[in-house]
Amino acid sequence: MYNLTWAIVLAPLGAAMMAYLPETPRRAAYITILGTAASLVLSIIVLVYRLGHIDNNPYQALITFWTIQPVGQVGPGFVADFHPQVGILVDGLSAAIMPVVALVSLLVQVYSLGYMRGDAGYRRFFATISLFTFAMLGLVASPNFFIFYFMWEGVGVCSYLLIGHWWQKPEAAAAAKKAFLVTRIGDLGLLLAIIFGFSKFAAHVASLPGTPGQEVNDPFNFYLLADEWHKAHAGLVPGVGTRTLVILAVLVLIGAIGKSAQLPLSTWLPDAMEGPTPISALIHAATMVAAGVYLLARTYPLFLEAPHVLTAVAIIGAATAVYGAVVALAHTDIKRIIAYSTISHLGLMFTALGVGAYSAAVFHLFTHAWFKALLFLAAGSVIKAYGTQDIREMGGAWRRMRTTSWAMLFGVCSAAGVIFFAGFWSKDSIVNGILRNEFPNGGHVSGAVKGLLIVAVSVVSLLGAMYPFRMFFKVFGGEPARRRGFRPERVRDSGPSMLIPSVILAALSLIAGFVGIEGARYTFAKFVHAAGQNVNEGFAFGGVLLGGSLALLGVGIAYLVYGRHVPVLEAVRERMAALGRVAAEGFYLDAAYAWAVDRLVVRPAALFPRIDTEVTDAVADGAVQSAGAAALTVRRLQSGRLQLYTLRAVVGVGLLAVGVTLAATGHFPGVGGSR
Amino acid sequence: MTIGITHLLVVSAALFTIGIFGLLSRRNSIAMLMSVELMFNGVNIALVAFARFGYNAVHPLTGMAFALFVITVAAAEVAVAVALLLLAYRRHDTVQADEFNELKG
Amino acid sequence: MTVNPVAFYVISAAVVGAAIAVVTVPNIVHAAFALIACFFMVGALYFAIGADFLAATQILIYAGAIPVLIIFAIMLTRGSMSREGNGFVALWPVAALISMALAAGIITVFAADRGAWRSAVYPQNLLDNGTTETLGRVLLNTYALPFEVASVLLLVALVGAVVLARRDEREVAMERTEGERRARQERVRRRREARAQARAQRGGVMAAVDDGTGDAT
Repeated sequence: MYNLTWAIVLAPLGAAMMAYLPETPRRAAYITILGTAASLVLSIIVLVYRLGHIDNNPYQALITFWTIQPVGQVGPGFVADFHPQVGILVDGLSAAIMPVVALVSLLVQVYSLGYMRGDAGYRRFFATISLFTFAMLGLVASPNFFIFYFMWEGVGVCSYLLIGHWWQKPEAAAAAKKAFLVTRIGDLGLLLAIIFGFSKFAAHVASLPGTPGQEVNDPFNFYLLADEWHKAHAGLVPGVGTRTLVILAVLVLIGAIGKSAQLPLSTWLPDAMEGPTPISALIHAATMVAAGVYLLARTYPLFLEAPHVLTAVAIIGAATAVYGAVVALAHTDIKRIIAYSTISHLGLMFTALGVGAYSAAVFHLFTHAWFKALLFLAAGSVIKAYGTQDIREMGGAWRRMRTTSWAMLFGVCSAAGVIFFAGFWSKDSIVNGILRNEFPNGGHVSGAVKGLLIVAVSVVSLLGAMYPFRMFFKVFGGEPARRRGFRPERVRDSGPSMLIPSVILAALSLIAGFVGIEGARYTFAKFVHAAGQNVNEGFAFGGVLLGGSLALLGVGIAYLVYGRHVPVLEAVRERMAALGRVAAEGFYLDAAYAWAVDRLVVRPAALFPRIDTEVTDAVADGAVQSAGAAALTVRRLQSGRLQLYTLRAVVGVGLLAVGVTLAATGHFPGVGGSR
Repeated sequence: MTIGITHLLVVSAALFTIGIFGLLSRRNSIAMLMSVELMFNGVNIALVAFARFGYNAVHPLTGMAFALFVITVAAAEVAVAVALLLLAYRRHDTVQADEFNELKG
Repeated sequence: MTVNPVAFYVISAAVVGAAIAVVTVPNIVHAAFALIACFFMVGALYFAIGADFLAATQILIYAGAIPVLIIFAIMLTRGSMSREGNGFVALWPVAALISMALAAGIITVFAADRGAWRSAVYPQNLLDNGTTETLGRVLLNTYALPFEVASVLLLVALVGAVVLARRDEREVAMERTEGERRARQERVRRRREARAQARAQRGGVMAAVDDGTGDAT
């Protein structure tokens, strides 16, 4: 059954390579769409199969292609134990996420057929998306840290390439660079975690008995390491204590923060909006930022053994969620609003992981993928129609872009957590998780933190309902703002290739949430949980009441303020304009970074060129000059006169003969004295 | 006094050093070539002397065989040297060795 | 059998004297003839010590072929016979000093260990019947490979000399144009001279008229 799973991962890679074969860019796009579709079909088959055998199958299936062997024996117990396996892991988590990645990527590519029409880099665009999909699928299906890191970097590179797709624009090039460099901080954390973990656990993993057909153990394997972490916490692994686990968890967390744009490394994500809109959909829904949450989910057993780090995860997540929601409420750029919304939702996922609501986080990752992709695709249509990204210059789209408007409404409702939409169920299960506050292994966060998290999640529920509807009312309500060179009658729905993906995603934004209703929710939780973890998911009225009612309240406020323009509330909004300006700048996080980098890096670095000019150059120049002077002296020896050369040769031979004779007769100490 | 190897070696050394003197002091490159021939002959006399007065029953007359090779090589050398001289003459219009100074640094 | 001392000393004196003449005589043709004499005497020296085959080779090649080549080189190069072209370099005293020092050193070394280089027995057979047969066996048995290599070396030297001395087409063409230019200049010069001469003659006639010789007419 699992023999075909390799094709899920490799089909997009093959398509990316083949994209450069056909004559026209259009056909290249068809090839990559076909590759992604193949991988989608296969991943759905795998998912259905796994769902059908949820109880009586081996929980995880590892398909190994080959095992990398260490070269030479470089010291005992370290490089000698380097046996990472190249293969594919199919367990509940990867089986659940792979179809999401493939479907979002497929819909984004179909959408891009229309959106990117006439673009100079059409072929490159599709090839890179396909490569991106490969990297993300490989990351999801990676059985160990080794492959995971490769794919993780692959995801980073592809996002760099795609954000900078319009590299001729300086902003796009800068944004791509920023995304790459900021996530690099996180990548370093992950890399250190992998190396540190290897150095601590490799010897012990190698000493474990191998499984049949696999005599050497893979020291990076997630499942083996999960056992190791558990044992290490009980003090059963020599040389590893609780402190090691905490350090490891912190390093992994740094990696996840960078990739998932959590505070304080969140600044790259809004700038990434310089890329084409379909790319934003892809990055935000399924690939790049999801990788961080996925990393935490994969290494969740490690965090369970380091509960304090888990609390930090919850606090960081909650802070980021509030931050993202506030900024999104103040921003006027439609894409950046959605970008900050992503930051906020990712914060919610972190919070859920932090309080032990593991399956709620995965659930939210699942639903978020649909409505976030939908929001971006619909926003892309709107941007194309209006020729601007500023929501103050839009308006009145409801009557002109009917299909897009309905799709957008579904997405907005889902993002806001309006009852019965997908976002409602997943957000509700996160709120439930916070209220329950119970780790799968029995721990919990402290009461004070729990109170803080409840407050934060309430604020996010309220604001998280307000900002999508603010955007919705601004863009779709009222009448278009008058601008030079803008003709409202040209605002209409896009072609079918851009509409169909939006409609499909709109449907998914509604029905995906029914995974979360009573009964199915338990199955889902059981499905995605790693083996041996307690499943503590259940329906609770508290969460529904808190999250749902606050969301509805937020929608109501947004309607009154931005839809109806009620005078009293309008006055309040005016009062808060100053705060809004600060928030719209992302609370000057970027400026703070710029200041710190300037003070700590750029200015000290300016000293180094002086060392270069005043020390290194001086040495080099001196060497050159002395060599030149020596050459001027020595060149006089080259008189060009044959007799002089001969004379020197004869004298040299004579001296040599004398020397050899003296040496042979023992006149030089130590040379030939034995004669 | 019987004539022994030393006498011949002295003649050989004399011929060799006379050749060196000519090589170092003559300006005419043809004269220098002749000096080199003198040096060859000096060496040859020494080789023949060794073959004659230092006879080795296992390898008889090796010195003379070597002298023959030297003569062969000298013939080849003179042929090439004369060709080179003609070439240099055609280029510089002279055979004065001290006027071939293209290598001057 | 021993070497006749008188013959040896006479021949040696001739060899050294001729060699000194080679390097000191200003006239290069005289030097070449001194070289021939020197090589003849070296051959005689070989004969005197019983190296008959080598003596013949010496006279054939060193006294015959090589001087011919050298004399050809002298004839083919203008100026090599001029007196000022055959002087000594300014450093010649240094050269003399170095050569003498070298001679002193070599002779000292030879004199230092005379016993080791001597072997008492030189086969009577070689003295009676000559060295040719033994030398032939040595060359074609022990030194067969060097012998063949030497033949290849001669061939290579032959080809190399031809290639070096040969004028390539461009040079020939250049020389031809040069020659034509010279010939043209020569013709122009001759014509001008002829004209000048004619004018002089006419001038002479006129002068004669002015001189009053015309009165006779």
